[in-house]
Amino acid sequence: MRKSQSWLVLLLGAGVVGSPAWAVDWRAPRVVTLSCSGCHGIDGNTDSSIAPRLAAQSVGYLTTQMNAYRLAASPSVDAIPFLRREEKAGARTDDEARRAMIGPAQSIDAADLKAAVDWYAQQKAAPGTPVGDSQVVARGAKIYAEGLPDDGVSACAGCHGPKAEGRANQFPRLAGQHSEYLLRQLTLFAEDKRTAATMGVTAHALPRADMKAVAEYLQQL
Amino acid sequence: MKPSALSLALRFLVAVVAVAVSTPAYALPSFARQTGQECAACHVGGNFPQLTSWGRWFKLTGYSSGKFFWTPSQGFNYVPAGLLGQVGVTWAAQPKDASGNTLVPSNGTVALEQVSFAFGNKITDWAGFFYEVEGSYGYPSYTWSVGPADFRAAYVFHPGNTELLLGFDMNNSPTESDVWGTLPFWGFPYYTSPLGFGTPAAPQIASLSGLVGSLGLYAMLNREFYVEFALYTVGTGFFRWGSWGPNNFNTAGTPYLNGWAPYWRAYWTREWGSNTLMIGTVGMYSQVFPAVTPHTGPADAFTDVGFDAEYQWITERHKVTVGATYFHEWQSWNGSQPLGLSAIPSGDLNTLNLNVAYNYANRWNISAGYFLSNGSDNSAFYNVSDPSGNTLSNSPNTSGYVLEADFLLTQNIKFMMQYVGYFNFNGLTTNIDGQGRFATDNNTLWLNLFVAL
Repeated sequence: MRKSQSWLVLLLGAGVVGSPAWAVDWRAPRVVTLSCSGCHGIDGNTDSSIAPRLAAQSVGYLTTQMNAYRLAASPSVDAIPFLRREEKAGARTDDEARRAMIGPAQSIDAADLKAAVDWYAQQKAAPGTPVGDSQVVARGAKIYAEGLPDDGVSACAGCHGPKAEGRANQFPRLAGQHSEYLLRQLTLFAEDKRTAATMGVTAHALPRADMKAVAEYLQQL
Repeated sequence: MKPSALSLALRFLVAVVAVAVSTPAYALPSFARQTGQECAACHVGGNFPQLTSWGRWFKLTGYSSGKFFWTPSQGFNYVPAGLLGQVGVTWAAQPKDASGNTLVPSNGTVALEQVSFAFGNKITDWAGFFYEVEGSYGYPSYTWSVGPADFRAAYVFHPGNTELLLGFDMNNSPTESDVWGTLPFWGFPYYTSPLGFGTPAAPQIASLSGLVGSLGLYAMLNREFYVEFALYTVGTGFFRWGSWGPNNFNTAGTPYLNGWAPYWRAYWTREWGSNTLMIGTVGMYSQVFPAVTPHTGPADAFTDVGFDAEYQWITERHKVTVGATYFHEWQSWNGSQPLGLSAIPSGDLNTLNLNVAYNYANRWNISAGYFLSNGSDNSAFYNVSDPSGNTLSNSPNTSGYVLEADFLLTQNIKFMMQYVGYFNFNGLTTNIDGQGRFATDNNTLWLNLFVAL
């Protein structure tokens, strides 16, 4: 954070006026346009249910995920030296990852990857889109805020933040994500095809109807 | 002993299954190797060639996402070519006419129908190409020729708050540069039996594949508005890359463009949620010499104007595509009519194609299509007479349907079953050849194994 602020000061000090107000890596427009924007959108606010929104997602989370895709394609977990041992368990090998993301994550070099991650982290998140029945959304809101204590489902807000804005560079921003995308990810966690922190335990305990309720609540945030 | 087509086909089958089983999922034609993605990232449900939103963008940006096949520092990253093969068998409802003449050779015989080497790669971060060399079915011999060829370079600008894609394109078939599954080159049915009956009449824009070369420019604003303009000319000289093969332009009957034929394309598209909609128009003005040599004197002129629309609904598991295409062609037989090669000085041709496809889990695909062509009677092209010489029809009017089911065993092995049925043929439902043949006797069932490595 301190570093990016000092960059901003430097840029302003150098007389750079107008938008964008952050330091854009010169690599970003090319890699984002060619390799990412076709699915995620230039500003990371895609409406597609196939690909997640990346706008305002944290640098830490995006980097971890991209490394998880790179790891999946790696013949040996030790072939990627910059990953810590505990991160190596998180390789993304599900069908979606295999079809769409392992390739791009592996094909772009570290500098391009960083440029793309920074670009999306700095984009402004668009508001969510309405979906679903209001009662279902209300139940989703309740589960998000309070969990289902009797069933062993902890409150989503505990990690992802009260407004689903994401937290601590580790827990992703969920606000505005397409409900079908979220439901698919919850299903992957429930089927142990994707792993992350406590998501496996939570998804196993969460009935499918409630997954859908939470997903629809999050889409309209 | 010369191996039979069947034994060639079986050997090919054994070879491809052996290779397919022994290679990992990424062993695909070169674009998949370049991007590291599976077929289904760019093709709807993996059912090539219909493109997804991402596939369209990849093409429009010059096939330039992903890795170079070779770099000085990394050496070879992957094999920059792919191998495509088709083995099939066709049954016609009635392969012979009433006199016992064979209309469909090798009916019911398994044959190696096509082998192609497909080269396609990024050249720079802003340019790429696609060049296919096909060994096509020419039973009983196989001839080598160029297939689809597309070279392009594109750059994306961001003036103000907008995005503007500008591209340059060279290809060898009108409508090949397009990214939708509606126009003739990439339209449904994507593949048909080389032994099928087809339709007697097609607009010029669909009749020049592999005989021409083009120079074109295209632009797309905010991924919403697209315009393209190209000039096509005969595939000789510099443009021989577009027509390479046994095509001999000095032979009467090989379409030979007079000068430069302008081609234009425009569409509007919008994506929301899992939906994509496109509404577009396309056209071409071409002058083609009559089917005599040498190619001099007055040429025939064709103005083709088409309208098309496509809707896609793509989710992780279910995918639906609906397409509609209509063409009107104004024909002027300035060259052919004085030579007696056309019975009329001018005429019209209309074609309509409607199709719908559903894909489940990137594995199963079912499609249905309706096709119709109608236009001016022309006894020089469409005459059907009975044995005593009485004219039964001079009409190109033909309509029918296509039903297709595909199963993707793996992403690079596709089984296809396609049935083409006719309602009428040359304006007739019965006695379509003057010997009692029904239009439905031209119906064909085609089983096909498509392998892409």
